[in-house]
Amino acid sequence: MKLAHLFIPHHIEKKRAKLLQPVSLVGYVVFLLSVIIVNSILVFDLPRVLGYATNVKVADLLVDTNILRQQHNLKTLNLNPQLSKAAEAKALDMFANNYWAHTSPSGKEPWDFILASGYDYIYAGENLAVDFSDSKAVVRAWDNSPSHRDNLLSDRYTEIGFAVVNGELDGRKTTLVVQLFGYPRGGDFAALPVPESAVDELVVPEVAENTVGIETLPAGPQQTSPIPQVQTENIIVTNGSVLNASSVMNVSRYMAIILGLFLSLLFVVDGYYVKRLGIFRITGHTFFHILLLVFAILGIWYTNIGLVL
Amino acid sequence: MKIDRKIVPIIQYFVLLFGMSIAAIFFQKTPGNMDRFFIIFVLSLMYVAWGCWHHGHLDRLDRLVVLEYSIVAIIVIMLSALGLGIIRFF
Repeated sequence: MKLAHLFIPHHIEKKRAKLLQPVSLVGYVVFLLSVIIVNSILVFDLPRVLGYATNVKVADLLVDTNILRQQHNLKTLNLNPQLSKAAEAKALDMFANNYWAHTSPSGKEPWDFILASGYDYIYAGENLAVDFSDSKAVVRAWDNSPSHRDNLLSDRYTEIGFAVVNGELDGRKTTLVVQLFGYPRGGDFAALPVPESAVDELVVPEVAENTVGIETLPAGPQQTSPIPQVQTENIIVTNGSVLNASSVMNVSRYMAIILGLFLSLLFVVDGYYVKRLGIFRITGHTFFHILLLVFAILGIWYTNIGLVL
Repeated sequence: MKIDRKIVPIIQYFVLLFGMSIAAIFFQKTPGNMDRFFIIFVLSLMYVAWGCWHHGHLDRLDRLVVLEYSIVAIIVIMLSALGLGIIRFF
């Protein structure tokens, strides 16, 4: 019977179920604080404990991007080694100068990297991502962000380049994903729809993940197949078994969702028995507690742990 | 114009639901994790204020009720900090 009152309110004491009484709620706060502290220590103070483990692959990013474009009746993009080289240079520059932005602290713009790679363009765009653990999540996050989606689904671009680079940013190991779009000068301009302006346009999104190597497009002749074979030279990628920063944050995310659901369920049971037993007591509003918790749970569920820029 | 005291709690419920709806719209329109966390943070603080207002009107405001609203808000803020990966911004 005592065990039951962990979950069910007592009709004589006229209090909430024991697991919802202030002492228990303070216990949840302490637990959450401990998890946050451990999480911070793992991610920032013990970076050597963490390795790189990513499933973000250039080939998958290309396929998923082109599938998305095909679903919107757009032409698929061809991999361009020069754009991939520019993407790699951008990612390395972000790690070297410790920034997460489209423009470097020294004022370098994305098109500076593109032009330095020898790619002369009429239109260009950039999407960035960080802290993602798989390729589909990266493309999905870009697709869910209007500005990045504009790049993904722009009919102005004919070519694309990617880089997935591991390194340390702001004191934690992570993986950056750089996606560059381009329409080369000298391309079949007539094939494009009438442009709104002749001004070069930059669209910048975000992506990044952890690794100890660089994944870029192969050098050589320009790819013409929508889904080419991608070589992964100079890559050290560990999948699955290594704990990394994004894994830690992903585990934390699921812990938050589970704890939120558990508390919501406790409040539902408590509210149900209060109604059923006709208990009158002075407490907070159970229904709105549940609503606030559900708001947070849904918010967490629909938000990627990774970031896009 | 005097509002019937019995009507006030219903108005308070609508105020809270309206606030949550606005927060949900802002949340959906805001892509950044930090911005989304901030929306939940503000909503949680407003929830505590709403709880005090609501229970005060009903003459049922005591320390335990304020404590309960405060702890629920803190839990929601901490869950969001954990679930949205906010620690990386510190």
